[in-house]
Formats: sequence, structure tokens, C-alpha cells
Amino acid sequence: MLGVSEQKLPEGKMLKIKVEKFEGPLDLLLELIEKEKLDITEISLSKITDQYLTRVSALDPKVYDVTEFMLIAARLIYLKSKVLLPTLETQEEEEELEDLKERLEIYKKYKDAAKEFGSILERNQRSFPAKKPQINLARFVPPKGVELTDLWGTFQKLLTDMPEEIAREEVEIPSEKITVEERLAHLHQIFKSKKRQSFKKILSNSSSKIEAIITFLAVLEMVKCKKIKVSQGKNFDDINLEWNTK
Amino acid sequence: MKNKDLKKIIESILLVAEKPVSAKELSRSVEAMISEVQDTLANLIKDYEKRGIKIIRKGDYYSMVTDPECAEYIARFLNEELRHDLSGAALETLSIITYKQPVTRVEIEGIRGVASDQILRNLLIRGLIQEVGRKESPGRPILYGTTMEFLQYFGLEGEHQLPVFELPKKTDLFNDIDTIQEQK
Repeated sequence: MLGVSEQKLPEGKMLKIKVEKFEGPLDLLLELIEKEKLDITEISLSKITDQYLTRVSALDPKVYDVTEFMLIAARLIYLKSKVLLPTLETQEEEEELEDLKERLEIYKKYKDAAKEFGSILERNQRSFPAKKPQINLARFVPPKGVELTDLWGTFQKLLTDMPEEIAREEVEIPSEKITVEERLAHLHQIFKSKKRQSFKKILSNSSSKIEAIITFLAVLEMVKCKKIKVSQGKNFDDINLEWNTK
Repeated sequence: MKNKDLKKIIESILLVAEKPVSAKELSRSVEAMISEVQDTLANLIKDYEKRGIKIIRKGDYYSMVTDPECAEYIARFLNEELRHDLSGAALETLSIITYKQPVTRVEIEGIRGVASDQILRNLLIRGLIQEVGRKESPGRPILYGTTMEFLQYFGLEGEHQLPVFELPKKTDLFNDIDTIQEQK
């Protein structure tokens, strides 16, 4: 999709349209790789990861469906990490990386074909059927005597006549106010005052779902580091947390 | 029916036909075997090789059109604009449909990595593509294919004149993408 990020009719009555150069994440990847004169390989993909991320972070989310770009970004970052640290990898991961490379190759094939299509059209060699042309060109041709000012005036009138847009309710997405590290420090304090704690009670201090999750993560972290011992009487009982004195 | 007459009749039908005609339809109208009609059509196509009129073919369908090389003059006569205004994205989508037809929207988007519904609608309105059926898979998605108008727009006499297209060797993975996309 072409991105129109600026569109207004200033006094000079010039239509100013800024069009982004690429169509989607694959198009962007291909552009970056070709700019560096690289072949489509895992290594070259990992090389352009930083450039890709820079470009994606500058994207206008009003114009692009950013999720598609993020998905590819995640894969690129993973790929780069794999190239930097070639340690153990699973079959599944390997396939996923191949997948991105293959997708890009296939996409390039079609894009090249599209270029050839473009040059066929440049020849301006169309054929017309015996009856009226059936190709619907969907092109706007203003009737004779209609000027840009007329169109602009009509458009303005249309805009004023249009029912007002229903204001959309603004929803605020809460940002994470606490981190796991902060919660860990907090829990340390709690355990210092009392060696035994109830998990239910610790959780009940959370003000939001996210905070509860972070508390839970912090507890898991403490268990992992063997700072606390956990025990439970039976299923769904409260969990007892005990400071490990050793 | 005599072979000679058959050629004349088919030629005249192609002239008056509003839409592309299939060999099947022709065989019904002229009361002849489909194979006989097809042979006659092949013969006609050859006859027109050096003329200002061409018979173009897409699958089983035939259409009588002007020679693409005369386009400039015809466009001037009809007061038509020849210059094409298809965007890069539209050409890209069209190339996928051309070489992969019949193809679903999800399959197209899987290859492009970007939503393509607007572009598809645009191509449909222009008559360059059409719905050609439904895929027998969950949701029975619409299958798209190119049209006779597509060939006319590109000035081609048949799909054999399209640029040769080959996918990278490992095409099994290509099918995997389709299945992954469809499961979504």
C-alpha cells in the first residue's frame, strides 16, 4: 500500500503527497539488501538488521501495518544473534530462518516479474476488442469547463455538509511502571522483616494485572536463584514462601 | 458442416461477440465438435498473423481484437489514454496472480508480506482480474485469476507471450507458507 502521510491543499493549491518508497517488510528488506549489493543469505540478512530496525522505528503507524514489520524484525534479531553466537540450535529454529530467506527469494521473483510487466506496459501496445473497450480504466476525467477551483469548492462544501465524525473514546494503554528488578528488591525487603510469607498476600498488593504478573515473575526468579523455598499443602492452596537461610 | 463454412461462421461470431467466447460455446452454436472448432480457431489465428486484427486466446476463451502494434493510432481515434497508471504494488500483485493463478488473497499476502485487499479490489474494478472460483479449504476463500482484458491491456495474444517465470528451486517450502497462512 502506498503511504500518504501528508496531504493538504495549501493556498497555492498544490497537492502535496509524500509517498514512502517501500510496500511492506519484505520490500524494505529487499531494498536494503540490494542497496548493499548483497545476495539473499542469512549472513547478509543479519548484516542489515540494524538498518532495518532504524527504518522500521521511523515508520508512521498511521500509514503502515506495523505488526508485519515487527514480525520480520523479531526474526532478523534472532538471526543476527544466531550469526553472532553460533551455538546450539534446534531444527525448528533452523527451518524458520530458512523460511525468511526463501520467502524473500520468492518475493523477489515476483517483484522482478512485476518489473517486466511494467516494461511490457511501457511499450504502450494494447489491443482493443471489436466492440467498445471493456477495460474499465477507472480514471477521472472532469467535464469540459470544470476547473480545479470548482472541484475544490465542491469538496469543501461536501466536507462541511458531512455529519461530524463521532469522537472516538481515547483509551490509554498503561505503561509498565515497575520492573521485575524493582519488585525483586522490594521482595527482599519484605523477606528481611519476616522469613515466611504468603504468596496470596504478596500478590494481593498488586494494583494491576501487569503488576501481579511482575510480582509472580519476581517470585519465580527468587526460586530459581534458590533464595526462597516454596511449599503448598494441596492443589490451589495458598503457597508458602520461606526465605532460604543457607 | 463443411470446413470452409465453419471458419467463416466462427469468424463472424467472434466479430459480434460482446464477451470472449469459449470453444465450447462456439461448438454449440455451430453444431460441430469442440476439437473441430479448436482446429478452426487455430487456423484463423494463423490467418490473422499479418493483419490488423488478431484473435487472442486465454485458456479456452477467444476474443477478436485489434493488433497491439496499432494501439497508438487506435487510442488516438478512440480518444483513449494509453499510458498505464498501475502502481508498483498493483503490478506486483498482478504478477503473483498471473503466475500462481488460481490464487487466494491470503496466498498473495503471504508472498507480499503485506495486506493487499485494496489492491485486489482495484484490479477487480479495472477488470484485470476476476474471481475464478472458491478454494476447497476452510472458509472456502475466493480464488482469483487474470482476465482476457488483462491480455488486452498488456497487448498479448496469449499467455504463452508472458515473460518466463521460474520460482527458486525449493518450491516445497513455498507450499508450506501457503499452509501456514491458511491456518492463521
